[in-house]
Amino acid sequence: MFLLSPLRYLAKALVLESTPRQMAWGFALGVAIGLVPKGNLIAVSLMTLLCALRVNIAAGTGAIALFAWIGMYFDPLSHRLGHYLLTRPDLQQFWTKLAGMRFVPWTDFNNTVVLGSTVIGLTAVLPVYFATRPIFEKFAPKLSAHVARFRLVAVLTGGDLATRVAS
Amino acid sequence: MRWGYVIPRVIIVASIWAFFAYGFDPALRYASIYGAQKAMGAKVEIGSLKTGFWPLGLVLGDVRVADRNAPGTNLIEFDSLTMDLSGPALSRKSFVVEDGELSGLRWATPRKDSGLLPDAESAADKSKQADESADGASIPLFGLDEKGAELFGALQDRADALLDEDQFESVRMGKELEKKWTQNFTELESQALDLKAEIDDIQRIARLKEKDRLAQIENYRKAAVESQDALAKIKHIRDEVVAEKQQSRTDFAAFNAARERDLAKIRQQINAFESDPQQIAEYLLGPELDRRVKDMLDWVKTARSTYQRVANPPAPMRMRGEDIVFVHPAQTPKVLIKTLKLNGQGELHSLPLEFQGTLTGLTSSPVMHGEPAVLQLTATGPAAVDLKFVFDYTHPDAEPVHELTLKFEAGNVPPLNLGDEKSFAVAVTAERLTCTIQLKLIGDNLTGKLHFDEQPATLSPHLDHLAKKVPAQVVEVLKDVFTAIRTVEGDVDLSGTLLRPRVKLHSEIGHHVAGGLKTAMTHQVDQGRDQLESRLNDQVARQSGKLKDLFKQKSQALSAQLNLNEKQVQELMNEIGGGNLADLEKAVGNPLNLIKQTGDTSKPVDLKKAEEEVKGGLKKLLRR
Repeated sequence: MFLLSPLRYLAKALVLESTPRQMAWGFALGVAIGLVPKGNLIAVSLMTLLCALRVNIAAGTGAIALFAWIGMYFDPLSHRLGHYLLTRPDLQQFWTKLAGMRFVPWTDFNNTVVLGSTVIGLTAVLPVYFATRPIFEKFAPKLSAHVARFRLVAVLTGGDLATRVAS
Repeated sequence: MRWGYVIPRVIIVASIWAFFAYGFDPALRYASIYGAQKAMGAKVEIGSLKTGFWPLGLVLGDVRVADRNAPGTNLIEFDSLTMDLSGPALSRKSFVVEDGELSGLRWATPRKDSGLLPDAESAADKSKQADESADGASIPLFGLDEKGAELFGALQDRADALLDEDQFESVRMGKELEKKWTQNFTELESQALDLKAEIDDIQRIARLKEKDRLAQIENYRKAAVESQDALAKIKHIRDEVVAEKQQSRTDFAAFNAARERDLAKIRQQINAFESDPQQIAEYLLGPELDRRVKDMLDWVKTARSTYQRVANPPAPMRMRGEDIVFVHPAQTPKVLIKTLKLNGQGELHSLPLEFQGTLTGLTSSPVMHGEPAVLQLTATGPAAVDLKFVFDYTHPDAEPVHELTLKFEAGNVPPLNLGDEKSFAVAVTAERLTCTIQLKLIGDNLTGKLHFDEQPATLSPHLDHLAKKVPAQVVEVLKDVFTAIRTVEGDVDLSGTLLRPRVKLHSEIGHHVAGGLKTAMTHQVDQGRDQLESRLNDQVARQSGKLKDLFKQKSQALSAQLNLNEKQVQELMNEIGGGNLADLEKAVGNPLNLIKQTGDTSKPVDLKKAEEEVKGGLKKLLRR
């Protein structure tokens, strides 16, 4: 049981002990991360942000998985937007300055799809949050109850043991 | 404490640490192999890879890079590569090696597999074939086979020429004249014999005794006419004999002209014994220099293609979007090796060498770096080698410049075999060999110079094959010529392109050998010329005498036959005109003179009229 404690906390944190607000924020961040191509510092930073904030990681990882796939279909749009931004004459100095800064080149900001999808993803965070929050408010309790019925989750969260002791 | 918040974050941080502690190096090793294979187009094996974060560094062990152009061979192989990386540069996504050391470097080592990537094997084969056909790798730079054949095959030709009489036009013409004249005279003799038979027939007709006088007269008339024809034929044959005589004078003139040409040819052939020093130099030094020049060009090709592959890695197969490049003054090239110390073992011209050196300025962005990449190697061992290779790609608007400088010095080098064993070869042993190469490649245009020097040298000619073709005296002199040479040296000027190089050899060895050959051949040549001229003159004189005798004999025999025929005809005509016709003349009268007149070709004869007159006379005679 001692060894299961960390896993129990993890299961609770991932699935059960989250408010609809945390779930909506997790999902919104997951959308942004999912849209951005991986393997650059922007994706890593957003992942770190997802882990660091008190948001629902399960909702976030689900959104990442979903929007990483959907994001492929956004590539042409992302490319056009990124290309527009990167080739604007009034922004050239800014981009050049960024290129000379430490760590910034690891973000791959100079890639049209990376920049375009980052802008789209970050722009989408708030709308997604506000759009999904009512949904999570409506369905989160039901979802928690449904998930709690899984035997593994029940074991991890101690429900099984509590039920046995009570009986 | 809110464990629900802390635990997941701790697990994530722990996972990240575990990845960097245990998974990063294998992942980087895998990525390095993948990237290097893409860049080199052949298998790359990295035995171990270890990263260090403080100080920032990278250590690679047991690395083998296969050669895509030589299946089953490693392009390079080394025991370890240690690199100190620049932190500031890495923070700007640049891989800058401030200082590095590559140990145990070897090249062209064998490997168990082909080293080709699975999907690149067939492409590599095709590429190799295309390269070979394009650069003419199998074509000798000096055209050695032809030179050998021209140089010493000529001796064989001359030797054959000394012995073969049929080569001379005059000898052939003499035989043809003999045949022609014999044939012509045989035809004339045949005509004379046919004529003899005709005359005999005429004689038989003239002597035929007819009871009918008119028939007798008719026979006389016929014999007289045919005798006239026979005389005309005799005259015709005589005319032909005269024509043959005139033709024989023309033939003799042509025969003498052919003899003069033959004598000139003998002198010309003998002059051709004078050898071309350039040909000799190329024949003797060609194979060795061909090998060295091609080795050098292969190095340049390999170095250039490897550098270009390193400097211009292929774009990822699946790249999302497009990278817009912004150049900041603080930026450094994506990849830059500032200084890399090298050491290892290698083989050069069959000599095992230990070498050490440095590679500086190797970068993926030479224009940004602004300095050329320089490879310097110094080798020690049985030979001392200094190599400097400069790759200058710093000017974006100009063709890239490659410069190679190599100095090779060795003592007691293995024997060097010059020439071709199939015709003529020389083994050279020398106390010291020096070879310097300077080469510049701008784009594909090649210029350069190679100097080759062996001294003091001992040259041992292999003359067994040649001895079968040339006189023994020549072989002995050749031995002396080569034994006297103490230096084997040559300069090769290189031009053209890397794929189609042109070479020009300058060497004193050709002059040495040509001078020796000339001296050696002079006596032989004089003897040969005198002998050959004498033999030709004898042959021509013999043939000339034979032809004259033939002509004289045949023409005399024919004349005798014709005289005989003519005499016989004359006698027959006298017989017809003077004897047999006299009786009839008495009976017939004058008209028979007309028949007699047939013997006189100057007067026309009306035989019909004569016949009528004879018949009239006979009727009168019978009435009486």
